[in-house]
Amino acid sequence: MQKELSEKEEAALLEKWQNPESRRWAFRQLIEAYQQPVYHLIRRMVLSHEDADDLTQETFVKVWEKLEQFEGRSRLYTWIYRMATNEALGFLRKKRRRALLRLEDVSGQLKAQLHESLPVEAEEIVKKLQEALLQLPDKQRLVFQLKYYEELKYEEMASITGNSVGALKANYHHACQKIEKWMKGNLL
Amino acid sequence: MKKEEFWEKGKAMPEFRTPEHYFENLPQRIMQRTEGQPEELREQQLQNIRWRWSLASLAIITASLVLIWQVVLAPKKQPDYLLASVSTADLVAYLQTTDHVFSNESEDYEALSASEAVEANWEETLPSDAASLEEALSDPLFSNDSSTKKNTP
Repeated sequence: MQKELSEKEEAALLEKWQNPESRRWAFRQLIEAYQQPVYHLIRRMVLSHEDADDLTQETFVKVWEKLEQFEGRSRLYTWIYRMATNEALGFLRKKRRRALLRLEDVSGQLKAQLHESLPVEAEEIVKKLQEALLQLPDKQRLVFQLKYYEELKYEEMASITGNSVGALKANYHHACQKIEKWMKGNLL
Repeated sequence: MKKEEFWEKGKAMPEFRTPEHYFENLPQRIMQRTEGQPEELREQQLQNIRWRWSLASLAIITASLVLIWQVVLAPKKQPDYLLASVSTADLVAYLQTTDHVFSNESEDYEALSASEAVEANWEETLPSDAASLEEALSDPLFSNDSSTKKNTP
């Protein structure tokens, strides 16, 4: 995950945020810095652009509402990503619950959305890996995304997900094993 | 394909397709949403939070009262606890009163036993063979038949 702002820049923005006159300007800078990583993090989880758009906006609106409560115990970007992951996981949870009542197949829907979302020129192996990811439970998929694609440290991931480093390592290891097993039957 | 090769190639994460100029317009759209938050809405949200906290507090207080009642007050209604609170003198007085009741009961048992003994004796006086029994039953005294009753003096 690209960290668009350094720690110093984050602190400077927060200082501007404290001042009511520069609050909106600071918030706009924050959105411009983090909109893409937040959007892509959510998009990889929910796959549909419309849903990712809604959830990205919702995430930033919540950041606006709750920034006063930010105590600075972690980096600002991990705090924002935490909100984004909560939004995405909450959305998927509700979607699965609704689908269960209507006897719909969420995994099938996500797979269809995946094929619509990926560029035509994407390599077959990339597409297959994305399909394999859909076999994982949502939280495990999130852990895999954060480690494999975003290359975050486990400590950063712990700050985002609220899980322990040990639990995250085990989760990532299991995710890799499941993907390899799935790929053996489908590609390798 | 080897495992390492697969993990290396798979990492080329494709960017998902987004509408044109999407990220150019997104900050403005979000800023508009934050502008559209009037003070009343924020006040309403605060009210909701206060209301939820009040409900939660009420629930905790109720649960605590129930717990206190269960732990502290309820044992006082147990028979052992109630009996322990009665003085020995009262207990003795009560037992003396109830002795009379129990002695009446034993009289009832005795009366019942006596009636059972009478029944048993009556069964013993019945004729043992069938012919004698039939003869005994043909006696107008045992008959319910009205015609027979007419013949009786």
